[in-house]
Amino acid sequence: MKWLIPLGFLGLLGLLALLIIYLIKPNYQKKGVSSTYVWKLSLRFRKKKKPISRLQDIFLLICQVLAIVFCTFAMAQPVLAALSPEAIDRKIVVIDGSVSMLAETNGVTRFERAVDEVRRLAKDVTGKNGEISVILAGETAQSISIRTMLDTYSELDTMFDDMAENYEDYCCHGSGDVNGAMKIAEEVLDETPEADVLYYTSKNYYDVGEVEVVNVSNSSEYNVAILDSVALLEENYYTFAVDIASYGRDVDLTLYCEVYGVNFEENSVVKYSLPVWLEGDESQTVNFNAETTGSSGVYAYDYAYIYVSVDDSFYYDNMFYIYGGTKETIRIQYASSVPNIFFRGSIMSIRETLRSRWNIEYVELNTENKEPETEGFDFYIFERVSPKSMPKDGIVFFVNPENVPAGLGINVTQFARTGNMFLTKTSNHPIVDGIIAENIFVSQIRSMTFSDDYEILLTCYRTEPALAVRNDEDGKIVVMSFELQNSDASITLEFPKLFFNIFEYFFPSTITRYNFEVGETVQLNARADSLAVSGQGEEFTLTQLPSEIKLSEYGTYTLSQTLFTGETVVENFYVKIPNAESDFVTIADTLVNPYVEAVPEEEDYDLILFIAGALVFLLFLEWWLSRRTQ
Amino acid sequence: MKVSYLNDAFFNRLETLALNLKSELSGFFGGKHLVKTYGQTVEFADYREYMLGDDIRRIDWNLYSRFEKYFLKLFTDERQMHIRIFLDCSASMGKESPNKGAYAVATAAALGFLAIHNNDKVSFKLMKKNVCEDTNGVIFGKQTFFNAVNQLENLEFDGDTDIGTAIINCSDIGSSDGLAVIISDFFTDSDWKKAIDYLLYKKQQVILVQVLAPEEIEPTYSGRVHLMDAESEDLVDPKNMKFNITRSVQEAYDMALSYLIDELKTYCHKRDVGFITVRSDKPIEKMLFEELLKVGIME
Repeated sequence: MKWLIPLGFLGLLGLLALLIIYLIKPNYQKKGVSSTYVWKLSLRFRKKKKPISRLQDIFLLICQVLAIVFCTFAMAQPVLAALSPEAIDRKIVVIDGSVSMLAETNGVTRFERAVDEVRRLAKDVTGKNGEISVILAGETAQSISIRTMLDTYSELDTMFDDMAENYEDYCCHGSGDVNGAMKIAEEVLDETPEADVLYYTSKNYYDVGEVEVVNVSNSSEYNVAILDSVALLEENYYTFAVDIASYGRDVDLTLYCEVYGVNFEENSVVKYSLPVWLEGDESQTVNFNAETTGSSGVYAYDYAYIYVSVDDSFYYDNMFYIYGGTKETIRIQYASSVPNIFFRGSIMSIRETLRSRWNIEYVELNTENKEPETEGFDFYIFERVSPKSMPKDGIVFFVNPENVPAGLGINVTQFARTGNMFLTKTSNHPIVDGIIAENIFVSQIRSMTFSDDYEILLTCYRTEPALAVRNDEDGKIVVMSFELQNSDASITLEFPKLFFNIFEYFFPSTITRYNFEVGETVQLNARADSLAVSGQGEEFTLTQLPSEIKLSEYGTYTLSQTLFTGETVVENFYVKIPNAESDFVTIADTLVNPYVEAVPEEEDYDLILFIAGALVFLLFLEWWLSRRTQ
Repeated sequence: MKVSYLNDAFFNRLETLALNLKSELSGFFGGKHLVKTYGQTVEFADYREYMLGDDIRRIDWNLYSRFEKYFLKLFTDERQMHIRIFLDCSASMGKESPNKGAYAVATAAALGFLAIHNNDKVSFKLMKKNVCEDTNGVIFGKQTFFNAVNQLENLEFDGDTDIGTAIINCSDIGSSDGLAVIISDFFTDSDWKKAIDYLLYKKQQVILVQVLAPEEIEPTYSGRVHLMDAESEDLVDPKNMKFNITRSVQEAYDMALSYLIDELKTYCHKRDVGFITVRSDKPIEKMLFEELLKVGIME
């Protein structure tokens, strides 16, 4: 039991007051009466005093003393002290495994410093019979040790040695999984909610919540970072725009740009350099072009290598590769006895839409004047006409063919069904994705039959195939059994969409852009059946396409595929360090805190009610005894 | 503070009342009280045969003509009574409780007024120690009465009183001539019974009026109290008492008071003596019109 207000014991002075009252209290109060005759007479009628009544005065005094004592207790506010939890020092340490922790000062990385500090902390905590849990917030959060105590500290120490020695294996090239690490910390906190959570990092936060952040960065550190680079085509010449910044210091440096495969010249390299004054913590854009470099322009290139030569604390973002300078060419032949402007329009629309990805060359010929080519194109469109031999090097799109080469599994009749007919979708094939078949009106359609190698996508007049597709090793063929002249599809959006779908289906983009950040997930596709991915020491082949991969390493990745024509297509893309990791001076808003279920604190048990109850009882007893006495 | 009940309104209210005394009393000529003896009034009472010595002028000749015997015609007699009011003037009657003393004086004055109003004589006997002072002598007539009342109003209650000795020593007690009223609280060790017996011996009609103050009936004080008797001479006077007044003590007090009153009542009842107990905080009219009527002294 403890007393919240010990000064309340001054109330015991009341005992002194009671003593004084008893001392100065007159034993008998003088009272004048007419006569004491009856009082004397009353002596005869007095009952014999009970023995207990002799003690009444004592009881009264005891009651008064106890009342004062209990009053004093009430003023001193007695409480039963709550059971205090075990005084065990418990720490949960989260070490940031972000790439920014690889920044060095005098050859020692932040990560090494963090490990060193955590090691000291662990030694100290376990030395005092405490326990420590160490969690690494790397690419994925992982627990290094959970509740390590003195008896298992040696294992943890060995782990620290390994972490310090092989720090690059423990740090990722992106941002650490702090959320995952805090989740692991939550699991530890579930059992020991009183544990302190410490986060060793190089980042600053406006709001760290309940977590204690230990910043292991060094004030002398600075970072020159190439944040982004892009090749911009301006008036048919490329400008290489580079976003660059220096964090933590003003730097005067030279920015280099090496362009390879310039203007379709194999093995040609053009090197540029520009002096750059970087004001601390401010990013700026540096443009390499004919104007700034005083050289001839670049209208085509294979790739560009951007870099700085500076001895900063963090070198992972000192370079950048710009790929995609040379786009693959897709050659399209549109052969028709009566060329159709709707086809031409749709092809032109695709060429414009996908010009950042493909270099589309378009050839249109009238078969009345010239025989259509059967090789040298990637996409053949035969309208009404049929090639003498089937092209082997491209996709073939037959539109209302009067006949087709034998062996394709297509039986073309000369019967044309006429009438007011609407199409019906019979498949969820990607080619008809987004197509509302019922919106396509057809007035005449050629009756055709297809082998099982073909998938019927659209039908007309119940089972009459209107659109069929074949995509296998023996052929990549699309057959449309009606002409645009006999349909309203060309004047609605359905045909452009349909043609775009056909193109996308057979010419999917391998990647959507050529640079990414570590940690991003990229979708890969291929025209071939498989796609080989290599980069940063990894090589694997994707056979399920499209497919997604998560980019966990920075650097160049190479995508390689072999088309059905035997041609091998190779593409590269670059994965850079996240800008957030390059920025050494930024202050993040809020640090994710582990959720800790509030454990009701053991509170002191207040005894005031009992004291008050006893006091009331004593006062009542005192009143009753007084009343009896009087 | 001087307390007085005596004023014109008080006496006006008494004019409708009269004392009803016993007919055995002899009294004096000239009063208004009917007595058993035959007298000279005009109210016929009885006949009796003529005896030698009778006044022949009182012979009823009409009866003689019918019976040829001499009969005398007898008439009722009305007598004047002497009302002696013995007032206890001890300190217990008024020193600590002025209301009680004033109440006793008012009672005496009321009875005296009734007597004067009915052509009776009144004597105020002030009992002090063991004597009766009679400063006004025998009062007859209202003028003299009011003079005496004025003196009574200034009466001081002091010392103690031996009721028995004071009445026995009283020189003017008379015999069978009226009413003796003793007004006291009877809180005395003296033998008041002796006084009653003496007055009865003197063939007086006796009434005891016990006047009690409210605090004497229901003491309000409690705890340790040193009771200072009004009649005590100093602190160490044995009349003073120390009491730790508790509920049981108060109960004993109530019992003692009841015992005293019962003793008075029983003693008076056995001797055909009127007795009333009055509280000084009750209206004096209540005493006059209820208590005295009950004992039959008032009509």
